[in-house]
Amino acid sequence: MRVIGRWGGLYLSLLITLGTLGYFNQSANQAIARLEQHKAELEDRVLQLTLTHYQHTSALVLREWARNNGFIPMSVAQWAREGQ
Amino acid sequence: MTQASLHRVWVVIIAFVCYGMAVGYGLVQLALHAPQLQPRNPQPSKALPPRGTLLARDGTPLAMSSRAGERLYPLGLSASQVLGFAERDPRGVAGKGLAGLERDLESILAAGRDVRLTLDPAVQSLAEQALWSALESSKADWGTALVMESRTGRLLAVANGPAFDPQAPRQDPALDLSWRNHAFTVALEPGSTMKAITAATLLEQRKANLDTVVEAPMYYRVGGWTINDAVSHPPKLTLAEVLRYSSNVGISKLASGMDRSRLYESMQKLHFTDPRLMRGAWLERPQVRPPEQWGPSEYANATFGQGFLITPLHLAAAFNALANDGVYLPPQLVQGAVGEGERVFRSEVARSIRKALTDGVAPQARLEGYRLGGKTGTAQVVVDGRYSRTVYNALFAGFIPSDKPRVTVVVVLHHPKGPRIHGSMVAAPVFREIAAGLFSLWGEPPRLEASSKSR
Repeated sequence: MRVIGRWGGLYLSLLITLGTLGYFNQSANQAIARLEQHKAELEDRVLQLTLTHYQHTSALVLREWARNNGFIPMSVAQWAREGQ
Repeated sequence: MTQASLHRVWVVIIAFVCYGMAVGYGLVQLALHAPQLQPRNPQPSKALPPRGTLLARDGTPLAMSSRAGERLYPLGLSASQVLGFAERDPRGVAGKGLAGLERDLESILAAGRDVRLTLDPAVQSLAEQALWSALESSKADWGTALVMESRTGRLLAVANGPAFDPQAPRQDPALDLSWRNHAFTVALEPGSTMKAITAATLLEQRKANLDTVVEAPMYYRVGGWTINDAVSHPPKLTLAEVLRYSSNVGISKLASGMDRSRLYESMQKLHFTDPRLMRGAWLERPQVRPPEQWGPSEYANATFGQGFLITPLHLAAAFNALANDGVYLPPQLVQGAVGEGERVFRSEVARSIRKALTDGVAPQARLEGYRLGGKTGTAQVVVDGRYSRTVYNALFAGFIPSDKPRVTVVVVLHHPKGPRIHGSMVAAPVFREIAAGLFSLWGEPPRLEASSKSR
């Protein structure tokens, strides 16, 4: 009985160690999956923000805005020498 | 202890050793293959990489892919014809490229590699704004404007119109031409812009100088054909005046004193016969017959830009040789080392022609306080095998500024309608507007003594 008790204890302790490692592995896997999902969401967000950024500030949009608001290129403005 | 008990002990020990080894193996495997944030040996993904990004010279993304494979164009209408488009399934996922750079750079983009272009979004937008306004006012069918950096041959802008939205539902490509990059895919007659090249060849061959005088009636006959001038002018013209009045009679009479192969040599050196003058993009094949097939009238026509077809890109690269003091540079759209230059004209020849084109520039191309030069062109278009009396291409090719050019610009408008159809009326103002925008972009104030001469 004593032999069975010793080996049984060893078996149980190894089983608990294995179970604990498995638990941590699963947790780590889930954390990675969550992080990857978060990363993908952030990438989508960056893409959307990039598109929005250029929809509002691209050179063509700014130029159209300037024209519609009466701005003209510096080079076609009226220039006068100092004192005139 | 009996013999049987001893045997049983060994069996139990061996069984436990096996069990221990199995558990140990399991633990080692767990330790080696535990999940990690950074995998030790990442396995190559079997999924196709997302399509590569097309970038402007400043890093602005021009075409990019979402995670789902959708193709996106952050600048919208800008440069859309140059970029082209790719196949699109009902979910919006992009397939292989069908037009423009999406098609021409398919192998690179499909492998997930990014490509940086020479286009400058600021220059591109100002060329597009000027071109689209002109298309609206002239009611032209389509137009294109190229801006090329004179010292490198890099294309800073390739504008096309009407505007094309790459994300919108596609129309019938045979009926709606807004998707087409006319600058690369349409071969046309350069018309009177060619006179600058003919004049440069005359100077290069020492057959004339800018003061050489020629009898120039308003029309004369060559090889059974009548050559006419459109603009009234004095009966005798210098070569500089031939360029100013854009006299077909004057340039063809002056060129008649030169072997026709000399003009063809210039055209070859300027790559007018080269269908692959630019790496990375497909170009329409130019159509230039060799001089052995030219009769007297064909040669006369060639001197003022009729009887052969080149793309607006060919014309821009040729004019850029004049801007670059006579050295031809291959045009460039994909960033990389600048191509090797090739001398076509002596530097003093290129400067003389630029001066003549500055002094005689069309009033609509002038900008107070700056020196601008260039040549107009109004080319009849062949419709059903004959030169049409109603369909024209209006052209302008010039330098900004013309004394020390930073860029070369070519503008083409196809089939403008109404009373204003000439290059000087519809294409020159686009050039002027591009120049005004560029000087502002460069922060260059006007010098009131620097304006191009008035007539």
